[in-house]
Amino acid sequence: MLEELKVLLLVAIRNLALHKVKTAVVGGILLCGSFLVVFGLSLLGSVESTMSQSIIGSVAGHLQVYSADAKDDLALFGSGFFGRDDLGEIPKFEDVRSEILKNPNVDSIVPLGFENAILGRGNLLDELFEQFRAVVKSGREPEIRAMIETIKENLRTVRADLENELKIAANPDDVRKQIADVETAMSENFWQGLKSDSESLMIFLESKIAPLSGEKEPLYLRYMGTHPSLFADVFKKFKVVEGENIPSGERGILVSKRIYDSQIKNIVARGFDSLYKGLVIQRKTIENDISLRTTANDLPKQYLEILVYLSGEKRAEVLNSVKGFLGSSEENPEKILRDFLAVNDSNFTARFDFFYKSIAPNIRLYPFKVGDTINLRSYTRSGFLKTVPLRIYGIYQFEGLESSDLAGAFNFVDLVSYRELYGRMSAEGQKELEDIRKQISVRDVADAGNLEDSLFGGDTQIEQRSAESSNAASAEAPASLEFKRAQTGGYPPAELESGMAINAAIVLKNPRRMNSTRLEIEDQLKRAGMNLKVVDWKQAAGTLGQLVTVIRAVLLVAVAIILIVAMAIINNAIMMTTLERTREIGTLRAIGAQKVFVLRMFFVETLTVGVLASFAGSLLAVALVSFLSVRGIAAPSDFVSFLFGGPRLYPQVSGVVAILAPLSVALLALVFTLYPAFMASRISPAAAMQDRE
Amino acid sequence: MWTFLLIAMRNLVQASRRTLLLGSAIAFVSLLLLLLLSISKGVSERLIEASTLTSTGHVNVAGFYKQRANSATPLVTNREQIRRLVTENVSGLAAVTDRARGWGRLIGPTGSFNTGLNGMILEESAFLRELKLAEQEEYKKGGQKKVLGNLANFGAPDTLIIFAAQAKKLGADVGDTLTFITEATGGQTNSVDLTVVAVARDMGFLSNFSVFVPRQTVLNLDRRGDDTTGAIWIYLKDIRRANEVRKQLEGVLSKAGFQLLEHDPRPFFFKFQKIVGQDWRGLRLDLTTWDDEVSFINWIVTSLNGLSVFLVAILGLIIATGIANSMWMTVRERTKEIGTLRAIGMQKNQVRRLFMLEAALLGLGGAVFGSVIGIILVSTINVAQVPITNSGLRIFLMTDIVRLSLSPQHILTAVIFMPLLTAFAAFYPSQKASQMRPVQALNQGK
Repeated sequence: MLEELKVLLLVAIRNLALHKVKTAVVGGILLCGSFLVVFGLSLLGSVESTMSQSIIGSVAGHLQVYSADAKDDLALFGSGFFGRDDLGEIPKFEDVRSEILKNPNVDSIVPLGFENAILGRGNLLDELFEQFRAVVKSGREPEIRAMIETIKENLRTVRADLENELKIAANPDDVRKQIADVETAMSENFWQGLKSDSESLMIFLESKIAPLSGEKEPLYLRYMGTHPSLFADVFKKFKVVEGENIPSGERGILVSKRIYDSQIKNIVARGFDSLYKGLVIQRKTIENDISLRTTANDLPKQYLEILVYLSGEKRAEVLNSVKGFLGSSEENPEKILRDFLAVNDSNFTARFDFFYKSIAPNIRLYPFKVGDTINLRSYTRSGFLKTVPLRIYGIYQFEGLESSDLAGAFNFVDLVSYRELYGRMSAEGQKELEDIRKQISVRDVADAGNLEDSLFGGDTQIEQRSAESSNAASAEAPASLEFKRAQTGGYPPAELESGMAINAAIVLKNPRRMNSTRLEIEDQLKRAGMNLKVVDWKQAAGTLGQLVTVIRAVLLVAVAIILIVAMAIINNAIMMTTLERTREIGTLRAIGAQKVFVLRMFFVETLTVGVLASFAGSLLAVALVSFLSVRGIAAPSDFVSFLFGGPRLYPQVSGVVAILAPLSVALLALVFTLYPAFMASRISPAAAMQDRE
Repeated sequence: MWTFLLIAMRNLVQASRRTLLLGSAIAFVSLLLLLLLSISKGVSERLIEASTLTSTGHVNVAGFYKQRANSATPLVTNREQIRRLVTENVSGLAAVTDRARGWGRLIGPTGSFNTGLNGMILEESAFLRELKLAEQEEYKKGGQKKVLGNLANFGAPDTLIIFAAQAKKLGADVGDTLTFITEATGGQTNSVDLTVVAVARDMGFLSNFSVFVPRQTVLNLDRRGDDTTGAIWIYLKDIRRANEVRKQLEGVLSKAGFQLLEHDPRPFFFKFQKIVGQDWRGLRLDLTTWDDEVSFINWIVTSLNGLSVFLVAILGLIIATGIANSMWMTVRERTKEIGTLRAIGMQKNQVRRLFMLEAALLGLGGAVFGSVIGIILVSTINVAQVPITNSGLRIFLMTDIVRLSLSPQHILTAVIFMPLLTAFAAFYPSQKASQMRPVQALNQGK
């Protein structure tokens, strides 16, 4: 037996050497095939593992639990709609938590809930009038005078802006009335009223004039309600880089550094930042890159975003230093800044440095900073707008995922504020409501549901500006109550741990047992009578998770197609050598070789070249991947950097793939040798010997 | 030449097994090439179809109106005048219309989401003919297998057409009344009640973000005058002229005294922030083409094309290796024959041509065969109306049933590409064959 194998091997090697071209073709194709399979699978495997780290380590955890009644699938990173998905509710998180923690493989569970908010950017006149109220109250005459002048100056702008409104309004008479109101407010007569009836003057300003100045274009913010300290403990990549985490018992928001820097920051600074990234880090040029060119072209047009922040002495000082920097004698401030912002490939670095050294410290780089309070406006589950003021406690980021828009997509708020924006009262609030209901005879508020609706605008369709409304009539008692609670900001810390959540992230001790643990937990919950379902992180990621499945499927189909065609070619090559070797085989048979021997001869031949070539291909792939695992593959875009789990992918070879893939390729080649080998074994000695005569 | 063809053909027939094997591999690759081309063409056609229905014309005269320094309203004034300028100056027009643009939240019994409002002019709404309505069961569990809505009812005040996925999310059906609220700045919100008259079939990503209402509804909601609109959409007979027409119109409009923004190839909703920071007031026009407005999803088409090219390149390489190998063997097998041919006076380059012709013929046969199967397969798939059930794929492929698109150019590409490839692969073996010295060749054959 062993003896025969030795002979077969020798014959195979001789044949392979004899038919060099065939050997080269078969070997070459097998080598390439196995290289592609090993390289592709290693890369895909690495991307999957880094991406899973990105998703698991940012908000998903290993498993996610949410209501089985949910109409939509959980999609943490977007479902393709701009709105609230119907995910049902986890009514009592504390029960779910204690049930799930019974599972020995569960490390921790974090309550969550997410939604989009509109960030109110404030109304200039509102702010001015608020200051004015305070000044009037203080009674300091010169300050009041100065303030009135400032207001009048602003009203002149509003007056001019209304002229523009006139051109597009459906009913110009409405606008004319508004213009008349503004003119009233600009007249000397009007301000005389300050002495006699200051309150009605203030109300006129606040109700008629303030809305005319308009807000800045609103900004959409995605927010996630959670238990802040628990979240920080469980998700290790989570780091507060400025300020502090939201303290327990306090209302607040943590803003994503990514959003803070790429959407909220002063637009001129953002222009400089993205040019810096393109020109200095990625080494592109304004001249050759269309998107950098657009950014550079837009930059000078944004000079106002610097100028509005410069007043008085600071203005002269900054403009003079810019003039000095440019060596220009220009006097017009607008022109000076425009000149400065006209950057190109050669002057960029110097201007970037100068901007951050001399201009940035003098302007407002961010419209709000840690410690400020912002108004988050969001849709309640019944679809109406609700505003909650939140203090910014800090800026956070996920380590290693700094440049990823997806990982930085969320801003975190405490779960109690989340519930309020969602349109669900806290336990304490509900109790208060009960009390109120007892105290006042509410006419049309028959049950708690209706009361809630009237609170959250269910039938009024008017946004609740609860934080600002200071003189609520008695019929609006709940609204003023709302206002008080929002103002004080606090809540019993226990509310974070109990009550309603939308979904919850489960982190496991041993992620390898993810699937069995998922089934166990689902079973546990069922037995406890909780109507919840558990999904893994891939499913929870939504469209993004599907994208990976699609990429994987496409890759596998591509590999399959390539292999099929490759095998057809190999089959063909072996077939042809077989035909060529008819006489040789005939001779072998004539001198006593059995059919089985001929069959084996072909198999050993294919196996020899197959194993050698496939493993050579695999080795090449391993070498390339190892090289890349040191050097890293740069992520071509910010989106890809999320998949890569950072700016570069360091792919890892999987030992199993490096061995199994070439083996299967060699085996596949063997299968495709079957037919030619069978044909060869059927060659009759006599016919073969005659063939060439 | 004819003789050469005959000889090549005879050779192919004689080595029937080899021809069959290689031919079917080539046919398979051509079939694949056609399929890939028809998929990516299908997707890009769906993209054009969905985008020109929901979000853009071939060329758009859009713009921003700044009432205040810090505003950026996507609004165009002087609508009549601009439309007149367009019709007077652009040749090859298929249609011109304009759509009022609104944005806000649509609220239904079981859900709500943000969407754009397309304020349509009914008389110019050729789109109504293109819109396919969804059967009730598609958006409602246990619904009937019947279309309930009627497009003819659209156009009455405050009527609404939504898409199937939207209807599902909202829990809405034909005849229901939904509330729409705007996110107007300055604290006040405006709302309107809209009656659903029809539910259209999904068109992927883009159809999630827009619904259709009569123009007047949008104007009322935002309290805008009659001479304003969101954007003027221009449809051309030949969409490839879009960029040229955009440039031409830029000239026409600035000559007429309009201020223009510099061309920025991004959809309008990416431009708000940069407009907010600029110092001008009033109107600036912004001319874009359809691919500017969908540039944020063009990556789907780009990556599909990239994948096809990669796959076809690798397969081409494998096929070429196979051809080279088999020609190499043929040459060795037929040494005597070559010797004879050369001995009776055939020139070296004629021998080379003969072998390359043989390979090319094989490639042509395979490609034609593969194309025939491809055409049959693609038309069968299209006729069968295979539904796409995965919502992720629906979003990426922008359609709810598989629709492939095969053009004569594609078939021509396959039929020309394959013979060229095989002939090229046969070049080296043929060269070898032609270099043989007749005497030696005759001797070797013994």
